[in-house]
Amino acid sequence: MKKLVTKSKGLSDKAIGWLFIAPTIILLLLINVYPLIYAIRMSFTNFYANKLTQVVKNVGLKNYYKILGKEAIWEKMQITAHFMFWTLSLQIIIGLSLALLLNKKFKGNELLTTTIVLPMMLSPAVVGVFWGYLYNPQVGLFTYIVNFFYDFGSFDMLGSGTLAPWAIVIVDTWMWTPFTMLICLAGLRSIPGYLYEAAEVDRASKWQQFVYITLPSVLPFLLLALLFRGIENFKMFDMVMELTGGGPGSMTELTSMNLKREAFEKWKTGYSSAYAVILFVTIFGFGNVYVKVMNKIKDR
Amino acid sequence: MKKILSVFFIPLFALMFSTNVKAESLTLGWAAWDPANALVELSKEFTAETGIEMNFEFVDWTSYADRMLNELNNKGKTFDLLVGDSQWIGGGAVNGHYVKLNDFFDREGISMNDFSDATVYAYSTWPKGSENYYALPLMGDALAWAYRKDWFDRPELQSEFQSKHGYALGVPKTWDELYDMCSFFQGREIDGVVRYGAALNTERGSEGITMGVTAAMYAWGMEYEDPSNPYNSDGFFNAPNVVEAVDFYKKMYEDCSPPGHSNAYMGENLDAYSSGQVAFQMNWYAFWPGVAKGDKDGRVTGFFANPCQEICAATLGGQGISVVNYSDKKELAQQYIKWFARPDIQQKWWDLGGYSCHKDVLGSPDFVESAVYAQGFLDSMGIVKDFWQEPSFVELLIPMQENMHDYIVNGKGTAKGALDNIIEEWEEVFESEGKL
Amino acid sequence: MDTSRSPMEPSGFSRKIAAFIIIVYTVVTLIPITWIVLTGFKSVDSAVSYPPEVIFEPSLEGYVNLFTSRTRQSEEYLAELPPPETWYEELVRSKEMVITGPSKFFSRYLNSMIIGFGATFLSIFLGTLAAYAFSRFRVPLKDDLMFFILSTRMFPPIAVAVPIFIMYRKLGLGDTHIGMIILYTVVNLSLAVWLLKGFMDEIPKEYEEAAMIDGYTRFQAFFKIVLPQATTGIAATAIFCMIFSWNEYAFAVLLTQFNAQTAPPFIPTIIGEGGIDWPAIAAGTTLFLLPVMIFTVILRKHLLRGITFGAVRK
Repeated sequence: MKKLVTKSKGLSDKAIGWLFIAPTIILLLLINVYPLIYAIRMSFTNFYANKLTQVVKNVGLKNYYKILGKEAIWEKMQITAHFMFWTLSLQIIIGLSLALLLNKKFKGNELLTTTIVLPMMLSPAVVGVFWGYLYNPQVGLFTYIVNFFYDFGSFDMLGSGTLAPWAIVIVDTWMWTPFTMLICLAGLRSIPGYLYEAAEVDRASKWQQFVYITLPSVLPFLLLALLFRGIENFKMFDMVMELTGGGPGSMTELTSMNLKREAFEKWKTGYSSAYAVILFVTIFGFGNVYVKVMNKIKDR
Repeated sequence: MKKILSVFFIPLFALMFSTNVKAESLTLGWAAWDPANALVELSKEFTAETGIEMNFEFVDWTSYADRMLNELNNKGKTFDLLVGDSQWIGGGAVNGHYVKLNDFFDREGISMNDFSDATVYAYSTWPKGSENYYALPLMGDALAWAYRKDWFDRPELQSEFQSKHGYALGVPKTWDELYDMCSFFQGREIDGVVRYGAALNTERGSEGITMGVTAAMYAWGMEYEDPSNPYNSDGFFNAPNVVEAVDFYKKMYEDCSPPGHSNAYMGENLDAYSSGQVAFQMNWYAFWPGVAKGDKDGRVTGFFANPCQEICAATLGGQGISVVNYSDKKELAQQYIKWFARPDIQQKWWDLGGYSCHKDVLGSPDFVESAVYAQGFLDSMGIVKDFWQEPSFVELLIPMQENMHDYIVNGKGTAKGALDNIIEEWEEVFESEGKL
Repeated sequence: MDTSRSPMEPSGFSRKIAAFIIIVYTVVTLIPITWIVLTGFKSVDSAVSYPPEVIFEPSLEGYVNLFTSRTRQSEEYLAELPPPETWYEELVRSKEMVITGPSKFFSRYLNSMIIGFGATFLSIFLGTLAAYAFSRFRVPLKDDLMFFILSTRMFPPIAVAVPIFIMYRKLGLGDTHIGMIILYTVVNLSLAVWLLKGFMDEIPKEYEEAAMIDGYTRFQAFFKIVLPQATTGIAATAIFCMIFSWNEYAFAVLLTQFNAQTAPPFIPTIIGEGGIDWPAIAAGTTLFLLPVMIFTVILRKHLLRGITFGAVRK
C-alpha cells in the first residue's frame, strides 16, 4: 500500500480500489473459477467421488462422446426445452398483458403490485412440495376447482405422463409471471409521453400506437426478462425435484435433475463433470449470443 | 512470564480434564420409522448399564440413502454407529466406510453362527457369503402383505367370491389368487364407501417400485445373473418369466390401485390401508406391529408372506449395524454392538417390536405365538432374495427405478423393452468396473 | 413523475376494467398461498377430506406435529401414563400418540436465519466495496471483470456443486455454517456487484470530490458521503441477497446433512405418523414464508426499485 502524495491523507485511490475489489475477486476465483477448472480437469477422467481407493484414469474425451451420444441425455434436453418454451411463452404473454393493465393508473395498483409479487418470494423447493398437495387427485384443491368447471372425474396431474409436464409449467408460470410483469412495467413506465402525443397529432390509432411505439420500446425489457428466466429455467432443479421427482418415469426429468442423479447418486464424478461442462458451455454460448443480439436491438 | 503462562495452562488443563469426566456418548443413525423408536427405548438399558449416552439421528426413508451415503462419502464424523441398508454393505466394505468386525467378534466371543444364516449372508458379509463381517444383523425384514381380515370374514363377500372364482376367499396362495381377490374389492362399496384393491409400491424417487415389482419377479423365479457367469444378466433378467411377472405387476397396478397411487411407498401404503381405502397393502414387516396396534372399530388385520407363483420367494429388507470408520469413538461403538448381540437383549428387542435375527429368539418355542406375523416372518426369511449389493448398487438401482416406473406407471414401451434397457445400463456399469 | 401516460388519459371505463382484471388475477394467484396457510390450521383428517373444506374446525395439530417427534402407542400404554401436563401433550395424546422430543424444525429454521443473514451481510459488505471501486476508479479490464462476475450466475448449481463438494470435503467445510455462508455470498456477489455498481453510478461524483478537496480521505468520503446516499440501493440489493440465501435448496441439499441443514431441504422430509402430515408441512411452509412476506411488504418500495433497476439501467 503505497502512500502517494495526495491532497488528503490516507490510502491512495489505487490502494483503495484494489483493497475494495480484491476480496470479491478472490472469493469468486476460489469458489467459482477454481471449481470450474477442477470440473474441467475431472471431466477427462473416470473419477468416482465415492470410490477414493480406486485409481483415477485419464480417459480423454470419452465422457464427452458418451454424453453426446446417449439418447437419454437428448431426451432430457427435449423435456427441458419443452418446459422452457411453454413457461417462457406464457410468462411473456401474461406478464406483458398484466403490465399493460397495471400501467393504467388506478387506485390501489401499488398494493396489488406488491401482492402479485408474492409467489416469486417463496422457496421453489417448498413451492414444489405444497403444489404436490394441491395436485393430489383425491383431496387436492386444484383437482377440485378444475372439476368444478368441468367434471373430469379423478385425474392425476403428477402421475399421468401427459399431464405431468403441464403440471410443472403451470407452477413455474404461477411463480414467475410477476417477474416478467414487473420488468415489462418498468419498460412501459420509461416510455416518454410525448411519443404518444406526437402519434395522436398524426392521427395514429390506438392499435398503431401499440404496435409502433409501445412494443418496440418494451422489446428490450422483454428480451431481458426472457434472458433471466431462460437461464433460470434451463437450470431448474429444486421446484420440479420436489413436485414430481422426475416422474412419472422420467417424463419430467429436467437436465439439471439428470445431472444431480449422475453426480450425487451414482457418484460418476468424471462423467458428470463433462455433463456439467457441456451444460455450462451451452448456457454461456447462448447467453453470449443472446446478449449481443439484445444490444443490437437496443442500439437500433 | 512463567507466571502468566501458567495461569493460561491451568484453565486449559481443567478444561481437558473436565471433558474427560463428561458423560461419554455415541451417535447412532438410522431411518425414521417405528423400529427406530423401539431401538431408542431399548437403548435406555444400554445407558443404564454402561453410563454411555446414546444420541440418535433419524432420517426419513425417502432421503435416507441419499443423505447417509453423502455423509459417508464426505467422511463425516457425525455418526459412530450406522444401521445401514442391506444394499450398502458392498460400498461400505470396499470404500472403507465400515469397520471390519472380525477381530472384534473374535475378541468378544460373538459368533455369527448365533444369528440366522440368511441374515448373516444378507446383512453382514462382503463379498457375499464370505467370512468377512462388516455389520451385525440388527433388523430382519422382508416385504409382505396385510389384509382386511374383517372384510374377508363377511359371509356375503365370501359366498360371492366363492361362486365367482370357485375357491374360498382367504389368504392367497399364489399371485393369481391375489389378483382375483384384489380386483374383487376394486370399486366395491363396503359400509357406504367405495374401496379399492391393493396399495402397491410404485415410488419413483428412491427404491419403492423396485422393491414392489421384484416381489412379483422373485415369485416368477427371476435371477439377476447367470449363476455360472456372474454379472451377465442377458437371458436371465429379461427371460420370458420375468417379462410375465412385470406385466402381471402392471396389471395389478392398473386394476387394483386406488386413484393417484402412482408414487407410493411405505408411508402412502400405510395411509391407504389405515384410511380404509384398500383391502390389501404390501409393506415391510417392520410396520406390522404398528398396523396391528392400529386395529380398532372392528378392523382386523391379517398378515401373510409373499405369495408363491412358480416358486416361493420374498423381497429382502432389513439392516445390519456397523461401526463407521471415520468415527473417533470406534472402541466405544463396539461396546454397543457387544451389548446388542446378547441373547437377552435380542429377546427384548423382539418384544419391543424390533425384528431380531438371533437364533435363540427365532427358535424359541414362544416365538410363533408371540405375534400374529411371527410365523410369516420366519417363513419369509427363509425365502428372501435381495437386490444387488455391489458398491455400485445405486447405479444399478436408478435405471431399474426409471424404467420400471416408465413402463408400469407411465405405460411407455414394453416390459421386455424396459428390462433390456436396464440390462444395457447394468452392463455399462459392470464394464466400467472391470467386472465384465 | 409518470411520463408514460398516453396523452388521452385512459378512460374511467378502461381503468375499471383493468383494475378488475388485475384484482381477479391477484386473487387467483394468491389462492394457493392462502390455502397452504389455512391447511396449517387444519387437523390431519380435515386436510385430506374431499371436497376440500373451506370452512373447518381449526386445530393446532399441524404446528404441534411440526415441532415435535411422536410415536404411536397402544391404548393400554396410553392409559398407564400420567395425565398430560401441557396442552400440546394433550392434543397429541388425543391422537393416540406420545411426544418423544422436539423435532429438528427449530434448529433448521435457525440455521436458515444464521446462514441467510450471514451471507446477506457478507455479500452486501463486499459487494458495496467492490461496486464503489468499479464505479469510481479506472480498473483495468473493468468490462471483462464485470462480465466475468455476472457470468458466474450462469452455472447450474449442480454443476459447480460437485467440485465444491470435493473441495469442502478436503477443507472440512462440508456441512458447516461457514461453508454455506461463503458459498451463498459468492453466488450473491455476482448480482450484488452489478446492482450496487448501477446504484453507485447514479450518485454524483461531485459530492465526494468536494469533500476530498475539503480534506477528506477517499475512504472517509466513501464512508460518510457516498454510503448514506446509497442506502436505498443497498436495501434493494440486500433484499435479493436475503431472498436467495433464504430460499436456496440445491446447494443446501447437497452440501449440508445434519449440522448446517437449512429449512428448504428439511420441509419436504416432514413425515407424519405413517402417511404425509399435510398440516405439519403446511405449518412449516407458512412459518418459512413469514419472514420473506413481512420483508417484502415492509420494503416493497425498495424491492420494486431493485427489480426494475436491472432493466432500466443497461
